[in-house]
Formats: sequence, structure tokens, C-alpha cells
Amino acid sequence: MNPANHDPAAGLCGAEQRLARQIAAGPVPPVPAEEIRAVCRMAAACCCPPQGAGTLGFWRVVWGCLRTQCGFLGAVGAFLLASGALIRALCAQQGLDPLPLITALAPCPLLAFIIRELQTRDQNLCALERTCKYSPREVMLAQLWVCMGLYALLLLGLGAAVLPGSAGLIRLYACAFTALFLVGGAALLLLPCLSGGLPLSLLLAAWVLGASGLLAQPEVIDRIMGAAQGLMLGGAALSGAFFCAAAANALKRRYA
Amino acid sequence: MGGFALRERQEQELACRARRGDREALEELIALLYPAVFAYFYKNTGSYHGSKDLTQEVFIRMAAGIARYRPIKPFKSWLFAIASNQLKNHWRTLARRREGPLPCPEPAGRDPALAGIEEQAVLKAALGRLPPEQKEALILRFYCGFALREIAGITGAAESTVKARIRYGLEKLRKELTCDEPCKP
Repeated sequence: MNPANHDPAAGLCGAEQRLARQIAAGPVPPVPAEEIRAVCRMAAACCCPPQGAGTLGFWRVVWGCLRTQCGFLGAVGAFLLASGALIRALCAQQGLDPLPLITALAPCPLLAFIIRELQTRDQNLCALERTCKYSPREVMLAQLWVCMGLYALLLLGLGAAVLPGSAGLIRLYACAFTALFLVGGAALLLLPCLSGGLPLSLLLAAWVLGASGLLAQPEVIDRIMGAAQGLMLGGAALSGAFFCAAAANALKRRYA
Repeated sequence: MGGFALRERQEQELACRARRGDREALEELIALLYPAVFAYFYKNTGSYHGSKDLTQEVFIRMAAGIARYRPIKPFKSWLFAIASNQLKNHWRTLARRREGPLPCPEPAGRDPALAGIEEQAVLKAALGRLPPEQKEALILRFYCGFALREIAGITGAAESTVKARIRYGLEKLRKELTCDEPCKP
């Protein structure tokens, strides 16, 4: 398997070089040729042209995968609604602007999803890897965007209850989705480098605490909002593009 | 070097033909790469029958996903990324079943004729006690011969993480196998 002039053990100390050569030299029992041919025939039978997101069958598979995550999605939704109620009560009592707190909490659902993904690979998608009909990565991306749509609806309800007027809703959407895409995109970029959920959990905690404090400063919110709403929405669009690139890269590594 | 490059080119050509639906090329590709993938699993798990099952799964997934392979990187790296994911699934399944650790190896005997075999058995047992990520990195590097960058692509870890896993794995093996103290279970 090594090229003739490439020695992976080069540069190691004497004892480690010996160990490396022993690992390379270890015997492996042979597999009968007939068994290998049987695997060839079985695998070749699995080969067929894949179907994309334009078919009804694809969205049935996406819905099937989402149904198995109902418990997790329900928990996240309940957390957001309860947080919204608490924020409304607290801010009404203290006379504070609820927007910074909601913006600080915005990335929580996505980070919870990424931390969960780190602990286990979705078994539905692992099963899809055995078929060629639908790409597991496309199914996963479709799930992500369906959840984004649900999240947008949830924010609508939250915003209507907490912030008065349509101007408040636009500010909420721009701030929440900018925060979601930026922090979520950063977390997705880190996903291939991590083997456990603890660093992202710490990142989430640091973001919520830091952002709550920082965004509570009126001048910071004003600067972020920008002079015109076009700048705000532009920021959300740019961060959205960053998020899409990070999601596509992270999922490419998780599911073949 | 010429033989290695020739083999890699052969694999790429077969993969490109298989992508276009050439079933014979697909079967030839599997026959060519089966021993390498089986050896990777055998080295990592130590189980002959388990390794055959895992290898079969990898090639089924490979065949199902061959249309998604893009020839921008070597085919073998793409294939071993599938194998690495399968291995991770395997370890998670074992962890849920709460399998115990491998038994401590017997001390090597004095007969020089058996020394080589026993040395391999001791090494195999010591490898079995390493964390799965370190063991996998060592096997990909020193048995399969992948470069660090390729191992990073296969396992989905950063190159610095792969280097650290190899360094710590070798250090643990060196301390365990060159130490004069008796092995503790």
C-alpha cells in the first residue's frame, strides 16, 4: 500500500519506528476468493441512478426522518416558547428591550441539533447510505431547511407576543437569523474537528451570556441595525450564505 | 513508486467507469480493494467475521453512492471515509452493548521461534487497549500507508488532530510494550 520511496515511519524515534514497522507487518488472514466474488455481485446489484429533491418520494423520506426527531424538535420548541414567555415577563417588569435576549437565544436550536449530531449519526441516514436512491446529504440538508422554516414560524409567534408592530418583527427576524447563521455556520465549520459535544456546549453558553450582555447596550444594537433596514437584511443574507457553505461542507464529511 | 502510481491510476479509471454504470468495472474495483478494506477492519477490530460483515457493508454503500463520487481526490480516500464511518458505527454499537476491554496479553515466551508470533499477539492486544480513534489513525498511517492529509479527510478530523492521535497512540504503545513492569488488567 505504500509507495516504494514513502516510509510513514521515517522521522520517528527508534522504539516508535520499530512499533510502526510491526503494525505494518502484522499478518491478516485471507478471505476466500469465492466470498469476495459474492460481495462483488451483491454490491453491484445495489447500483442504480440516484433520485434528487424534485421527486415526491424524496420529500416522503425527509418527512419520515423528521418524524423520528419529533421528540427533539418538540423539546427545542418548548424551550424557545418558555424562554419567550420568561423574556416578556422579565422585560416588562424591568422596562428592558427584549430583542437582545431573543437574539442571544436564537442560535440555541441549531447548536442543540449540531451537538446531538456529534453524539450520533442519524440511523435513518445511515440506512440510506445502503441505497443509491436518495442522497443522505441532500436529505439531511432538506431536513435542516424544513426545521429553519418551522423556526421562522415559531419566531413569528414569539415576535408577535413580545415585540409590537411589523417594524419590530423585521428587526427580530434580521437579528435572530443573522445570529443563527453566524454562530450556526461557525459551529458547522468546527463540526469536523470535534469528537464530542462539550466544546460546542461551552461555545453556546459563552454566546448566550456574552451576547445578552453586549446586545443590551443600546448603541451596539443601533450599530448592528444599521442606518437602514436594507443593511440589516443584507447582513442576514450574507450570514445565510456563510451558513449554507458551512452546512454543505460539514454534511459532506458526515454522510458519504 | 511507479507501481503505486499505476495501481492508483487503475483504481481511478475503474471508479470513473463504475460511475458511468459499468457493472464489470465496479466488480473489478471491489475485488481489487476488498483485501485493503478487510485488513483495515481486521486490524481495528481483531474479529475475522466481524471484519467481513463490515467490509461487505462498505462495498454496498460504495456501490450505492458511486454516482456521488467526484474524482477530485483519490478513490481509495473516498472509500476509506465510508469505511471509517462504518467503524465509528461499530464502536458505538459495541459501547451500547458495554463490551469489556480486551484481556491483558500473556508475557512473551522464551522460545525464539515463537517470539515473532507472540510479539505480534502482544502488539495486537496493546492496540486493542488504545482509544478507537488513536488505533484507527495508527493503522491508517502505518498499515494502510495514507498520508496525514488523507487520514484527516478519511476520518473527518483536522490534520493536527490526526498527528496528535498518532503521537499519543505511539507513546502509549511504547510505554506499555517497552516497560519492564508486569501488565495490569
